[in-house]
Amino acid sequence: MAQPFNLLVVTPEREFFSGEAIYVSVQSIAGSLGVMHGHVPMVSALDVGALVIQTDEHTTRTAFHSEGFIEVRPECVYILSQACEWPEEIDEKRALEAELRAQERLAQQRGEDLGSMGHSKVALMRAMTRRRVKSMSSK
Amino acid sequence: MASISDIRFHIKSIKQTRQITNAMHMVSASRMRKALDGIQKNRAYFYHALDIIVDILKHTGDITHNYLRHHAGDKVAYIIVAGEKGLSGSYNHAVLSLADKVIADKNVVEIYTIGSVGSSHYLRRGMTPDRHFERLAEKPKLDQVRRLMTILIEQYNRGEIDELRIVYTRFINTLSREPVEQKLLPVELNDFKRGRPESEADREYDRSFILYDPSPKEVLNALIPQLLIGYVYGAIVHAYASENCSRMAAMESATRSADKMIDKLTQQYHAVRQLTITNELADIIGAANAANAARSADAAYYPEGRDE
Repeated sequence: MAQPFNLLVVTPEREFFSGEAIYVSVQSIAGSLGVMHGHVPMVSALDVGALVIQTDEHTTRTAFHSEGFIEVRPECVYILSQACEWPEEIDEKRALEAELRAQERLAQQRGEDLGSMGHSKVALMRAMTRRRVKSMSSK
Repeated sequence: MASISDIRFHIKSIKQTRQITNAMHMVSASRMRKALDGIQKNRAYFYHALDIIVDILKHTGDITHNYLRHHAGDKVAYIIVAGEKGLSGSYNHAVLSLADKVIADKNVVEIYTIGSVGSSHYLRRGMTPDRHFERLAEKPKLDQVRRLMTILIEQYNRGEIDELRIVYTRFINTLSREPVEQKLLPVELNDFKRGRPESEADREYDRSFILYDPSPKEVLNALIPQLLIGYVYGAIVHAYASENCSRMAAMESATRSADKMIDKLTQQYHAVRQLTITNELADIIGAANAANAARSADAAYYPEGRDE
């Protein structure tokens, strides 16, 4: 039986999740990162990815998370992200439009400066991850 | 003196205006409450990021970072947050006059305005804002702030600007607001602590043994843009709360003076009406008296009557 720990997920716009969980995983800039009870205290920055929260042995929920950071403390795990969305909150049509827009921009920018290209790449990642999270839940 | 129908018309039009100011008062009050809620939520996010950055700098010693280093040049970019609409008392005037003052003695290369009142203020003075974000002041949206900040941070990294500053109105409480100027880049962490209640500072937690994954520098690199996005978003929410609070007060006093005016006009209306009645009565009585007098004079002149 896995031990629960406190988890708090906050965005600048709202408190996304607050309560106990036995496992949480996020996409950090160093790769996929899973946290269980008793994890060593750490801080990492988040990329765009899937936020997986397991509240007990049988319940796992997946959500979308945007850039942010995670802080693991002995008493609580804090995830602060600029945007978090449950699958039912994701507007698939908008995400698809954003994906196409970003692809178009990338195609135009090929060969131009790298700065704005990275910008479009992040936008593309964001749209694709949103759609992935959405499709995972509908299966 | 005005006629009855003039006064009646005047009262009616003031009543209509009063209805509008009263409705605007209600709307601003509810928007302000919503914005206050937003301030609270954003604060948790922002200070958490700030704490971590302060700690990274404290415990990892000599990190030199582009976002923290002062540039040699003097090219400044400004973000100016003003209102979306007028009719909000001194709100727009206060923030824009501060902006004008601070801009005057600097080499300003870029102006970004948020809210259409700010944009048109600079257009009128012949300075076209390099980019303006309308409707953002009315409905703070994080993804738009992110877009704005990504552009500015990239310009900073490329050396096109050496400093980034923001002018906005800080919400203190429902009675007071203050326009402030804040330097965003290069980052000076102590500046960001302004207005933070002591009770919220987290002192009890020692992060000296913490693990930074993949490295303190990379975490810092990812966190500083987020801190700035959080700050600017917070500034817009603050400005939004201030705008609505200011409008609420302005509309409340407008409603009150409309009430006063209606009272005064109603009194005047009654006085004029009474006066008209009195005058009419006087006319009637005068006429009746005259008629009576004429009849008795007739009777005295023709004792036998005039009918022949």
